[in-house]
Parts: sequence; C-alpha cells; structure tokens
Amino acid sequence: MTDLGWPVLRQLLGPDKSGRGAAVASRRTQSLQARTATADKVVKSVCPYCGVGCGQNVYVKDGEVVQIEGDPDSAVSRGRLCPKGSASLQLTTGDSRLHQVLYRKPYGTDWEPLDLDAAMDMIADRVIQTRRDTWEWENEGRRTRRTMGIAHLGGATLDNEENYLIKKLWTALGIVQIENQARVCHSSTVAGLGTSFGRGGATTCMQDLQNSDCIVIEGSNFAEAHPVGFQWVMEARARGAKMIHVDPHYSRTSALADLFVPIRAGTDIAFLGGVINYVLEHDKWFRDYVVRYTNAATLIEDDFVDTEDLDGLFSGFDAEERKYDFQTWEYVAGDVNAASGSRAEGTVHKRSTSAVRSSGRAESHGSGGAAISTSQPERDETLQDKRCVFQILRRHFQRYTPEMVERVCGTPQDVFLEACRLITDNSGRDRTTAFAYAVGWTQHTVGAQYIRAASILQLLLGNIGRPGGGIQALRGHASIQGSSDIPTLFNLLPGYLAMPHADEHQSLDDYLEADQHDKGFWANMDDYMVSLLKAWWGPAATPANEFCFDYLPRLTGDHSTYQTVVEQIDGNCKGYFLMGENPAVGSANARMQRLGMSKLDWLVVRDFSLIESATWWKDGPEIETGEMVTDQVPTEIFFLPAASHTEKDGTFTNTNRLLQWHHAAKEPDGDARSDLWFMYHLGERIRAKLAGSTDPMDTPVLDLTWDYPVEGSHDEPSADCILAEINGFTADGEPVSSYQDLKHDGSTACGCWIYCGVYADGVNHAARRKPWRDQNWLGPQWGWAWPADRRILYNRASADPDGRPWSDRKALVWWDEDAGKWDGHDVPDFSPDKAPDYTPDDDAEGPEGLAGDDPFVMQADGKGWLYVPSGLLDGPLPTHYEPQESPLDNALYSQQSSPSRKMMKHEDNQFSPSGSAPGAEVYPYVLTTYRLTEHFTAGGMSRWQPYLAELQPELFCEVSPELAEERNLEHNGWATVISARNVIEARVHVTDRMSPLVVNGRTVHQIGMPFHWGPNGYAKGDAVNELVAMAMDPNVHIQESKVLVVDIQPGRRPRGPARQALVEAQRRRAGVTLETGHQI
Amino acid sequence: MAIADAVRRLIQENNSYQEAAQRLGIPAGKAYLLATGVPADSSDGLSAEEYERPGMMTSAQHLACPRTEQPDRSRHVREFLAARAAADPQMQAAGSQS
Repeated sequence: MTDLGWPVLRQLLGPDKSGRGAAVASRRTQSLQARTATADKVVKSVCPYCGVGCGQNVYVKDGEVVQIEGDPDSAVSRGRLCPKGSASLQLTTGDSRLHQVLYRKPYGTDWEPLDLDAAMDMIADRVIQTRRDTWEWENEGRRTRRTMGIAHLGGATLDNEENYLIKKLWTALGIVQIENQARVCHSSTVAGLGTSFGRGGATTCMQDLQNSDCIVIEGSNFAEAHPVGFQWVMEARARGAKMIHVDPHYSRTSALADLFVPIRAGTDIAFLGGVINYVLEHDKWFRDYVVRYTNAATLIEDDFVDTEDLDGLFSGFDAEERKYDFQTWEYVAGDVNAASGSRAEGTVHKRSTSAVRSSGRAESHGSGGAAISTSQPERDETLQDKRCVFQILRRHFQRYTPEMVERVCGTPQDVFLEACRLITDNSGRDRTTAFAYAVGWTQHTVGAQYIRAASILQLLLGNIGRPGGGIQALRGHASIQGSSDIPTLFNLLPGYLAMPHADEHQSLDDYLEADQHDKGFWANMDDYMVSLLKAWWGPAATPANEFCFDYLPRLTGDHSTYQTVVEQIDGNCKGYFLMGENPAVGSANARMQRLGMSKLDWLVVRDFSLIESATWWKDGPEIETGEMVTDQVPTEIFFLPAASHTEKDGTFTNTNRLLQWHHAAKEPDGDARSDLWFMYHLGERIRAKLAGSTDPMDTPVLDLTWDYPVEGSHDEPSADCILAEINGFTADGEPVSSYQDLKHDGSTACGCWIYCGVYADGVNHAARRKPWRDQNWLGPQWGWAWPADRRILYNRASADPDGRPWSDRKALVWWDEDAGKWDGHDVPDFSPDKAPDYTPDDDAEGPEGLAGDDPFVMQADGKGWLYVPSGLLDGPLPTHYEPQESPLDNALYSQQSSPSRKMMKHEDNQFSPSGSAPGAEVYPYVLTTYRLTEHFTAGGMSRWQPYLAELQPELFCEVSPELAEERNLEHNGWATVISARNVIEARVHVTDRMSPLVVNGRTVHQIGMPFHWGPNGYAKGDAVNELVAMAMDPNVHIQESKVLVVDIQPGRRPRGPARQALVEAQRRRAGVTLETGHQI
Repeated sequence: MAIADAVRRLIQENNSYQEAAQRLGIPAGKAYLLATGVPADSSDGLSAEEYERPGMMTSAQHLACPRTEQPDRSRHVREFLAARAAADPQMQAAGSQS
C-alpha cells in the first residue's frame, strides 16, 4: 500500500480509512525507528538533576548513548521524567560539553589548551606548595594541624563515592574549608530536624505521600521544583486528600491545591506558630502520642525566661558576644549539653566557647541529637506544671492568634483558619497530615527554627513516624543528601560526626567525652568514630595513637563557604577547587564571590561547560563595569572537563535518604574524567611527590589508605570498592551488615556508619531494582535507604505504647507478641526485639537505656523534642523575627530580627535599613526567589541545553498589576531591580500570581524572580544572587536568599561604571553605611 | 484486531509474550501492546483498575528494550576488602580478640 504514493489513494484503498495514520506516513517517517529499538543495550541510571532521583534507562548503541528515558520500574518515579530529566541526553551528549583541558595563565587574556597529564601535575604542585606556604600547626596556642590556604566547593551533584574521596584526601592534607551546595540549601534542615527528632533527614519518603489525608506544601513549589515526586501528591488527591499550598507566589503547585494560602515571604514562623496556637487552644493535639513520645512533660529550670517576658529574647543572651548561653534552658535534674559542649556537670557552658558554638555544631545532630546526663529529667505527665515544656509551649505561642497571623503574614484570617481546620481534621489516630517543604523555609536567618516550628506542629498532631504523615524535606540536587551524609562540609565527618574543634578536642578521649550520649544509638559513637579512622588510616591507626585521631585538622570557628569568600578577599585563602558548583552566580552576593576568586593564586574548575566561575576574569560583570581588567587579574585557572552521570559508576542519595546506584554506559571522551578519577589520581600524584617526606605535616596523607583498584582505559577507580569501604568491613575482610556490628577496638573499618549495610553480604543494595509493582508502596527492594534501609523514620511511633497501630488504617509497624519482635510494612526503626513494655534499669546505657516506648532512638531520652534545650544557638523554641531586611517592624516584639543571626560585615555586603528606620523606604519592596521546572539551580546544567533554554529563555520578574501601575512597569518590558548590594535587569511579567498583601495595615508588594540565570550559556541573563546578601542562620551559616528588599524601576540597568554608580547612589539615598542592619 | 486476539489466545495458552510474538512475527513489545492496550515500556499513567487488565505484567519493559546490564556486585570488592584487612596487623589482632 505504501507504494501507491499519494496519501489520498492510500487512504481510499488501504486499511487507514481515516487518513490519520499509516495512510499519511511519509517514506522518511516509515524508514525511522525508535532509538530505543535500535540500541544494543540498556544501562540503569538515575537522573542527575533534582533530589527526586528518577530512574533512567540509558540506551547505548555502538558505544554511544543514543537515548535516555524514564525507568518504568522505579518505585520513586514510575517511569516519568520532567523536562530536565528528559533533556539528559542533551546534557550528556550535546555540543555544549567540553572535552579539552583549558588553562589560563596568570594575567592571561584567553584560554589555551593544556595536556591533561601536565594539568594534573601542575595542580598537584600548586596544592603542595600552597599547603606548605600556609601551614598552621597551632592557632592561639591550640593545635590545629591544617592549612587555611586552600578551599573546596562542590558537590551535591557528585556521587557519594566522589564526595568521600574529596573529604578523605583534603582532610588528610589538612584542608578544612570544604563545602558544597548543602551549606546554602538545606543545612537548616539538618539542624532543625536533627534537634527535634535525632536525625536531620526527611522523615518519610515521597511515595508515602499517597497515604496522606492532607498535605501542606509550604516553602516549596513542589510541582515545579520536584515535578515527578509531585505525582505522589496527586495520588493522594485522587484518593481524596486535601492539599494546601502556602506561598508568597501563586505557582503551578498552587493551581492544583484545594487551598492556596498567600503569605508574606519571611513570616512562616508566625504562620506555623499560629497553627500551633490553634492546635493547643482548640485541644486538637494527640494527647497519648504527645505525653508518651515527646518531651512535653519534661520540666525546665526555673531560670528559663521566654521571649514573652523579655520582649523577643530568651534568657541567657549576651549582647556583647551576640550569642546565647543556654544554661538557663536546661531540663530540671538533667544536664543537657549541646554536642559541642562538655558533659561534665557544672562546667557545661564554660567549656563551650563561642568559637565552638559558631562552628556549625548544630549540624552534627544530623544523626544523633543533643546529649543529656544519665539522670532522668523530671517530668509531669499531667502537663500542668507551669515549668513543663507543654505549658511553656502554650505560653510561648499564645499571641500567635489568627489576628496576629493576618497582621504579620498578610494571610486573611478566614484562609488561615480554613488551613487550620483542614490540618487538624486530618490528624489523629485515623488520619495523618504530611508537610513538604524546601528552601523557602531553609534559606533564612532563622532557617533551622522554621523547620523546628513544623516539627513541633507535627509532634503535637502525632504525625511523625506514621504513614501519610511526617515531614518531607525536599532537597534540590541529585545527591545533596549524600553530600551532607558523606560530607563535603567543613564542620562534619561522615555520618554527622563532628569535625574536631581546637578548643575542646585535642584527643580522641576529649572528643568522645564531649559528644557521646549515655543512651540511645549515639552512645556507640566511639564505634563509629574509630571505625572511620580505621577506614582512612588502616594499619597506621592503632590504639597507641588513638587511631590517628591527631591526623584530623581542627576547627577554630566558622569555616563555611561565605567565610571562605572573605578569606579569599583578604588574601588568606589562595587556592580553590570548584567541582560541579558555580558560586559566581549560584551563591549569595555573587559579586563578592567573583571578587574573592580574583584574589586567588590559583583556581581549579571542574564542570561540563565554561560556567561563570571559570570565565569571570574574561567576560564577567566586573570586566564590563571596569572594576576588573583581564590582564591585571593574577589568578591562574585550570578548567578540567567533567564526566557525566552516564560515564561513571556511583551512587546518588536522593531526598529520601535513598541510595541508588547508576551504572556507567560508556567511558568519557577526550579529557573528560569523573571527579572520582580526578581525586584519586591527584591523590596518587601528591603522595608520590611527598613520598619519603619526614615532615610530620605529610604523615597523614602518606598514611592514608589510597589503594583502590582501577579499571578501563582511563584507570577509573572502582566505585564499588569505595562504596564497600564506606559500608565497612571486618578483620575477616567481610562487609559489615549493620552499624550495630561496628567496634571501637580497631577490628572494624567503616567510612560512614549511617551507610553501613548498603554493601552487606557483598551485594550492592543500592543497585537493587525490583519493580515497584512487585512490592509494597515503600519499595523496600528498590535501592537502599539509610539508616538500615528504613523508609519511614521513627516508625515505632506508628504504634501506641503497647505496640498496637494507633488505627488499622494507619498501620505501619507493630509488635508481634508471638514472634517476640517488631513486624510490619517497613524495617522497624527500633531494636527489633525490644518489647513495648521494656523498662530500662536506671544505669542502663546505649540503646538499652531507652524504653520500649521511646521511638526517637537517636535522641538521648528517646523523645521527640518540642523544646530543644540545647543544640541550637538561637533559641529552644521558634520565634517570629523579621528577616534581616524587611519593610516592616516586628509586630510581635521589639526585637526586630534574630539577635544571634550572623552577618558578614564587609563593604561589599551592605544591608538596607529595615522597618521604620530612616531610609527603608528607598527599598520598599520584598523580593523572593524560586525555581522553575525547566531550569536547574543556578543554571549550570540547564542554560546550556537548547531544549531547556528554549522553554525558559529569559530572566523575568513577576509583579502584580498594582505594583506595575505604581512603578510604571510594562508587561514584557524591562525592569531594573536594585538591592543594597547590586543591580540587575529582567523582563517584566505582570501577573495576578503576585498579589499585594495587607500587612499590619500597610500594603506590601512582593516581587518574584527565578534564580537560574547568568551571563553564560544559551539562556543568558543577570544572576539574581547579585542582589542577595550574606546574612545567615547562626546554627548552620545558610544565607537568607528567600527574602530581601529592593527597589524596582522601569527600563534596563546601566552598563559600565554607571552600574555600580547606581547602586552607590541608591545606598546614599537610603543612608546605608557599614553599620546599617547590624543592630541587635 | 485479529492479531490482538491471536496474541491473547496464545497468552492464555501459557505462552510468554516473547513466544507469542515470535510465532506471529511481530516484536514482543508490540504483542504486549496489542494484548493489553498498554505500552510495554509503561510510558503511560494508569489507574489501579487498568493495572488489573488481563495479560498485564508487573514489569514489561524487557519486552521492548534491548538487553539490560544491571550488575549488583563487583568482582573487585571481595579481593579489595580482604587485602585491606590482611594488610592491617592491628585489625587482625583486634579481630581475633573480638
């Protein structure tokens, strides 16, 4: 029939009478075959973009990747891919990828090609020389054993195995300034969830959202930022669940919500506090759960004074140091210590120096909450004593009324109350509500307290540990959970062990004494720490030398990425590695990031394309303004092309703590190499160059276990072997099956105790791919989740104190009396054979020190903490403070902003006046930032992809019609947006999606901007991070990028020197000085 | 629809989709699609009822995809761990006492 030629003839004479199918297929169409059909093989992989971790099938033909599609068997994604995942083929095989090493010599005006081998040698020499020139044995009389001359950034898109080698090698070389995207995205999550529950990761998995009766999405644009994960929200809705979206900006998530709740950016604590107050006032809390499973009944010392009595401060605030002494926050008869402090009674806080407290110690609660003494805290199970946590909580939030919520947040009372009703009607024995959030909550000067507020609410409602409940922290990168767990972070060792601090941890004994619990699984911290030291230093690590504990460099304070930028500008940090991260546009105060890099001696950038962090010296904004002149920039720069996820083996850990292995489909082309290859071979070169050295500064790197087998034409180190080291092994060379098998006598080694079990029995459990339809909704045989493959944390709390599910409808795990063990749909997050009625002896220690109804096994008392007596620097309870920059005064307290917030005082990081302060009117509008589906973070993996660039080609700002009229802004025209830091331009999008709010009697306009742009790639535009300041949460040093104040004017921004002139003129009008915004 | 009926008949006779496809001279994935109305690579969103259609498999992508490589262990790992442990006298001594 196809030979008839004319379609109409084929239609008339052939089987396709409609003329819509075979009849009209051209010869060319008929000759085509699906690329999937002609491929030689399929390789299983995982999407490299967001934290959902969609399964991918990679189709290979003749050794080349020809197609990438979703894996329909995935328990996480069920075959779907979003636009970014669908563009993975372009990401990995497109023309924008480079495969040649490039070199920029000092003061050079262009790139030149460089041999890979030569580049590796030069880089090794730079590391050795800079390290030697900046080596520090001591700091103010305390042993530090480190270099502050080298720093590293990246990477949340790297494999766990890569992050492991990065941390291992750099630490052995004495480098402490090691950071990645986790710092600037979800570090607040680790501290907020960790202090509340004992672990700092999402308490549930996305698939479990289908069991929710109500889902509250706040601080997240779930449908756009985690689109494939959002299918589980839709599943829940299909089953009748209600979905609430609380956001300053009406988005695609809002369009699918049953209730959209508008809110002023930066006021979520007031909103959540309002819901907490509603729950308490209307008696909607789950009494049995709260009394038995939380610290509601625990009594607090008489010396504690709440913010209600000190007009926004807690007791213990030292105005001079701008820090709290939390001694007055303690339990009665307990001796609560932060993980940073000593456990010796009477000396708790004297030894806990401000440097220790400011060293990001709160993140060490990522797996293991704050310690308490072996004495039982005093409790009042009637919850009537005014000193009990429950009564303190009630009083703390009593002024967070619907009226106050409206006044502070701009949320209409009826909408607020409807949200409260939906949440409380769907919580209790038979129904559960889940919260899902992302960086709309974390990226604030009180980010950790945002998450604390949600934790309190979910504990009061009894939603933690139960199907359809929990808190879903939506992390944004493919393996940002992994880069927190196996941390390329300055303040942590793998498994949330704390990096030692020079003030307190000069020996292993000191370290363990300061941080180890008496009860719960954190009591076995010595097992985890010694096993890590054995993994890193092998035969060199013995009891005689405390297992090489002294090889670890020490912290002396804040060495986070923003502090590193200041160190670069000041000339102290001379060398910098960037691996899959792009701070020139992706970090707060982008201009300061570039200024810092311009002061470096050398810079190594590893990425797919020439990102802005590699090219700022040639064509960055400061070249255009004249602040920098290319041939006057001394920085030596190496650009090394990176392998894509299809070109290497390894694991990503998704936002649900799920490790998924991705297989290499081919080797990388040209000079492209994996970061695993780079770190391993750089380490080999450095060790070879230092071989024979008798200098004790070199001993740690020479003693390092660095013997991984290599394979393939590029000598790629075996990621399987590295994962097996991370898993741990015994003296028999057998993989360890459980962290409970680890020992502190040196007979076991383990690179990361919370990942122990992923390679149990010599099987790579992260590579498991049992189809989702062949198992229950949790997908227990798809990948492997930490800890111990539990998919829903704290699931003991899904059963009542007697071990029976609170209801049949919400059964998850339960006590099987006949079998004498816990059973259910998930791996019990509990000692498997500990009976519900188990009561520990007074002197019982470790896991045996917790009772049979203590579900929060990483907390020293086994309870969920409504009140955090220690562990957070800015308060035991969340409190509404205005953001660092705000157009309004705090309506709740005289204390305007968080008194202990951290601000970077620098001429390039100035703040606007706030509230009623003179000059605040110069920056009258609130700006908030967000993501789009079609782009990814700062755009390094999306602006170079034609598909994605075409879908979202230009930076825009969303403004309400009212604001457009007020500021004479034209739809599709241009706008200039100015903050106290910098000025950018964007296309104007006038839309009802941004609505003015009436806040405390005043109309507040909010502007929304996606932050994906930069001057490079196909989709070019200004970087929104030019506007954002370095003002941070003191617990974790995360910046406040979700709310700032700006002015907006019609038209394009100035070019050349006039750009900075405009910023300075605006500052003068506002009276901005170096002191502005630094008041307590 | 004659060929679809033929596929269903062969499946009911306990043939696999690959066997049915071979007998009918069509690709296995196409046989699955004809019999169930659902693509073998599951590139579709289905309701719970649709998953219960006759002939449905819990995972059918192997019918439409080329061979899949999915190893869950590496030949290097056992040797690597054994060598690491054997090279550590302190670990050996501690292990013998544990």
